[in-house]
Amino acid sequence: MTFARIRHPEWEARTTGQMDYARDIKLKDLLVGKVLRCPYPAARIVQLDVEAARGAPGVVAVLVGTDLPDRNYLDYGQADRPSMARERVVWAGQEVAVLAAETEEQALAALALIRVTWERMPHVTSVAQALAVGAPAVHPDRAVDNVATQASRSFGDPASRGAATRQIGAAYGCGPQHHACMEPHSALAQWDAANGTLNLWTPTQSPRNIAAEIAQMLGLAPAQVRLRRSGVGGDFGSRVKAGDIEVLAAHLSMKTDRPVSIRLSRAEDFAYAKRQHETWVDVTSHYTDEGRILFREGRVTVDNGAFIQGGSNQMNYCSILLGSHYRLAGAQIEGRSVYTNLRPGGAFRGAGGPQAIFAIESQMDEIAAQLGVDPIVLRKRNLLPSGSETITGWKIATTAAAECLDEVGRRLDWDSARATGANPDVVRGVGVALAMHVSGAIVTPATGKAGAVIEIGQNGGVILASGCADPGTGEYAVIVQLCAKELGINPGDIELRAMDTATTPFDPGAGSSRGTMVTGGAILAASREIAEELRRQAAEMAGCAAQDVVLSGGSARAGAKEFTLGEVAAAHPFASGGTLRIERETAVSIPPVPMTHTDSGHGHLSPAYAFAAHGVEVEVDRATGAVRVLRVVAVHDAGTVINPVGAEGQVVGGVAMGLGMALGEQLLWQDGRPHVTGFADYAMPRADGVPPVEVVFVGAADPAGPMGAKSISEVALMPVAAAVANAVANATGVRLRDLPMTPDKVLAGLADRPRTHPAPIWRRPEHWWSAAVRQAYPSGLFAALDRYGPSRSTSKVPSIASVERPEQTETALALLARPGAAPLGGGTDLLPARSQGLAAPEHLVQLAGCNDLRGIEDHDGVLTFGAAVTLADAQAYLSRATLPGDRALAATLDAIATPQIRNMATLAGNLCQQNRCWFLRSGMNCFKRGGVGRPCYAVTGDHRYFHSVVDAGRCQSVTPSDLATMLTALDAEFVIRGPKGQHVLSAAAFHTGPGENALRPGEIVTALRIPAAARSDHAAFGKLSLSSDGFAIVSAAVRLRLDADGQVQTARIVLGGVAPTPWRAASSEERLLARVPLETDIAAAADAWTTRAHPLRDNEWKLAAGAGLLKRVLSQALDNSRTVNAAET
Amino acid sequence: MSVATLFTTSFRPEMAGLVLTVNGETRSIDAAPGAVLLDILRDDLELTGAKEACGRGECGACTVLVGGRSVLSCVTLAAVVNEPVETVEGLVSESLPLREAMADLGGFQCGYCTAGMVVRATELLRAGLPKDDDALAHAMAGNLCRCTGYRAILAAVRRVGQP
Repeated sequence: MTFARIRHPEWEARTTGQMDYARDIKLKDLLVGKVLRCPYPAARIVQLDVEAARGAPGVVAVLVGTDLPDRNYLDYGQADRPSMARERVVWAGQEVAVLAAETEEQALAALALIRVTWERMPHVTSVAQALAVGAPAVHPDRAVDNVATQASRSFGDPASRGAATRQIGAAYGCGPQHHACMEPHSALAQWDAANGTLNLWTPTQSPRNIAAEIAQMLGLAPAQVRLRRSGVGGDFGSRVKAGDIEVLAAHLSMKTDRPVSIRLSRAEDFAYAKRQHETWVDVTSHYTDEGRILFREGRVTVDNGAFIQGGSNQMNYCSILLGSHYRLAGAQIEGRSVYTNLRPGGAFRGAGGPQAIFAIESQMDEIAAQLGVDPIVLRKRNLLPSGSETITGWKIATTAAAECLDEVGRRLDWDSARATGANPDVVRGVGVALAMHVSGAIVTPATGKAGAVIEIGQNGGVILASGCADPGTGEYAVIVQLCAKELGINPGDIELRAMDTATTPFDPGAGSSRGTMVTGGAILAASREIAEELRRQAAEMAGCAAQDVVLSGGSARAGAKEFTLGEVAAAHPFASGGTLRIERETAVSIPPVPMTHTDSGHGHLSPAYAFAAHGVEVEVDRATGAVRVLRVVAVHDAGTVINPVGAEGQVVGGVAMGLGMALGEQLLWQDGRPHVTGFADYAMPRADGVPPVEVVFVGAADPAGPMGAKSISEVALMPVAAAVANAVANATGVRLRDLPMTPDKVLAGLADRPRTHPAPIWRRPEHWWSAAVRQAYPSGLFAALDRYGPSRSTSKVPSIASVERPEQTETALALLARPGAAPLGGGTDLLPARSQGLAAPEHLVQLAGCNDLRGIEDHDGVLTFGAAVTLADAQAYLSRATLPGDRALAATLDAIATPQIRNMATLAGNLCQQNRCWFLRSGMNCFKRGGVGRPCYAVTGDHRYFHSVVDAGRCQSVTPSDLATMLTALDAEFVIRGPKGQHVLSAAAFHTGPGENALRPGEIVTALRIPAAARSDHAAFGKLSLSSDGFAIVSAAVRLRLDADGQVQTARIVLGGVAPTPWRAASSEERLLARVPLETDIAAAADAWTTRAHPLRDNEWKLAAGAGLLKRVLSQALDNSRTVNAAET
Repeated sequence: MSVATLFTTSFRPEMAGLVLTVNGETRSIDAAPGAVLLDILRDDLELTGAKEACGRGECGACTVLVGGRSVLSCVTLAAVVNEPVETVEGLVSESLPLREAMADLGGFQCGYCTAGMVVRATELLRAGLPKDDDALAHAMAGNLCRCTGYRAILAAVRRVGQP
């Protein structure tokens, strides 16, 4: 059975911007809702005063926890989360008050008037802390040991481990990912008092879950909440259950009798919306010399967060999958979900499956290595055959796991790829992983059934109604394809009604990969039934047997006779008003297996099981620790593929999310406070970070699925991380068990990793002061500054009062002399910095209109850029450059941010951007923001990537400008003008601190000059970052002038990302001067600077990575110029 | 201090007259001096195709063309825009081959980033695509997508951009 490639039913709306998402819907009299959240991970509300906010301009309603009914979210059944805090607050971000006002500005202003007196409480912000002896309890009333839920599960034969001759055990960790749906979470609620109905627009793939949950929280009957159809900008599990703002918007709407919208900003979405639960899987495999895995022991530990939302689910499915994957004889799995004072999680694509597969599939390669067996061969020795039953009770009717593995091997050219010889610096390897997954976990009766309504009018129009929603999974395409096939019509001729809970039949919503199986199954059954009725009726009209009627091309054909579907439908005895209508609810044929609240976990969980093997080829840079995935082969046994376009899309999208999980994505907290609050801090793959993905479908139709289909969407994520880890191990010998595999971990794992030796502190008196402060931090100073340190910062940022666009620099300077005035370049940093409370100019003077600031001139060999030239224009100018210095500058520009930013940002603006420290940018009241009385959060927090290793003072941040690093190496000069006239400053003298510069009030940079001599020197630039647009972890800019004998006459080596300002590595330069640089000199020079360093607790690896990068950039500078010279001669 | 409490402003300044050429039409709008282009497009002109997905210039969902160049309308002050603005709504005909290719190849899923993708790709298609696929991917790297894994988007752009 093959299905055609069709366009998605909503393709036009989704590609023209005409699809209305919840944020796009405008209702009359709409109010804006805002939530006040607790800033501390644990606290008691001593006093909460909302009176000033109530009286503030534009405010219509303010609600606090005690105003709302005392109800908890049902979630997956273990209801413990209230809609707002009452007295105790247990995570930094918990809802404390909510208000509705006429405008966003008024809502925000009123929010700032709410006064709360907090009593801060002891807290636990990691599983390790939560399980420590004597740890404070998150919920003393119900879990003194902080264990939220637990299970102990025994599968198969406990004695089977006795037959094993070998064992291997390790723990595998998957850090929390964020769903990062492109549509940030939002809710629009409209209470219709006349009808006693609440209308709700909010993105979700499970409309009925949300409607039922909101009704429950409000104390309404389920039918009183109507979830309306809208675009759904992604889900991935984050919105299969209600978040927090839906209920709050609903309460506000009921209170005010007006529609209320609450829209999370991206920063709020990152900080407060649901997340994945961090999960550790400790696994021991017991196996034979022949490579048969007999018994698996496992311990699953889930960071539950402050309330049980999906945490228990994650632990349950993970623990059951650990007993299900491969043909085991027995398994013993313990699982715990542990309360912490971190924000609650939620369902996330795969629900514990990706974590189980990462552990199992990493360990399979470790077993293969121990036995000296090929990893694909080892897996094939342990496969579950079709028709078998797992020790967990899963009945595997069909599996093409072996074909999946063979196909990966064939397409990756496995044997020769694995044998690839190693180049000492950049090594390649291949890896494979196999996953299995449910096609809908049937855990309650409701999860296995769905309804369908099909109507055929007398004009032949077909209406299909389903309660499902399509957040991008292609479910709408799947169901119209199934219906069209049965009715013999074009999928495009079906009018689809979906999502709206008042106009569509029951649907369980998507989740645990059940969309095609359950909803698709119901649509198919109803379609078949109405097709049968049409054939029967047509047969009667034609005087033939029903089986002789063929539905095709919108007609019913019986021999020579042909009727339109409309004619047949209208003539059917059940037709009413000319329309034939069928409404059916269909359930899958297996009984539910309740996963939660039970230790068993045993039972046939899903109608069918999907399999996927992914193979990847990676390149690992042993010098910097960077891992690059070169290609992916994704082979899926998904049974029959109903919607080929959507199926491929689900696989490639799953691979991309898996690469993020494997290599970069992680949410981080500093003592319970979230500091990953934007995409700049969250290394999600971009278009240039996803390699070509070959998608292959194998396997036969499964008897249970509609037309033989099995699941795709979640299993597509599951094997990726292990495949990458296995490939990294194949390439380097390093086994990484803690995701994401960022370069620091790769470098740390290398047996022959580059060693660096910062000189002892007594030899670096310039660091004594900061060393002393750092020493004092953990012993009380940090806590004291954090808690009691006074602050000169203010969160009030005045609105922009004026924007001037002068045409002359003279005019601009005059305008800038006004108090509160600041220059505006491209605005790409200034506007975000304003919203982060880091810049507060009221009068902006745009410099792009000054023509004298926009020129590019090459005069007497000196290259001069006007300060307001955009990065893109400079890049375009340099695109045909031949001088090595110019080319290095072009390469630098290309490595900055994104194309759109480069189109907007100006050269001077890039130089003047503020530092990008994630503690500062996430709003923490740190030294940089709040002054000397405040601590630097980087000292005790996560400083692995973006903080100084040398010369830092109280603030550990760095200047983020790559351009500044390169221009310093090029000995560039900046022309500066101000009230006192014009002067020239060297690039090296421009920056004075992290994101701080030497400009005095009223001064601007007007031009950047690159001297003639520097442009023809040997030069290169290189950068290590977490994603293609990312700021430098470390960057290196190099310029070398050689004399006629090839000796280095002049050297400029400047490093970015290592010090508060672009940092000249003088000791490295010295190692090259007056030498003809050989490889050994280059290596020595690359290392030399590291003895000056003064790294923090966890960022010493940047020395090795920086040295590795510098070595490469030095070689490149010399090679490039050799190539250019060769070409010229 | 927390993320939510950062976004505070003190007063609403005087509205000023703003003249923008959007999708070929000249529009006069009363707007605060600090209004960003995205809000003007969405709230005043009811062109909701451009989306706010990050609000700080990191994701590309709000991409529009100003003077033919793709810019991030969420960090563009409307007051400094003095060249014609084109949004996805104004590119519906020009982008039809691209949008059809996206539909045929799977170049969109949830649709939230799609308008930005279409606008950015339009700029590239007008200029002529880079020959190299890696260069094309790099040129599209300013637009985040969480659903598709990008490959089908790039394939669609390549399909219509081939001479």
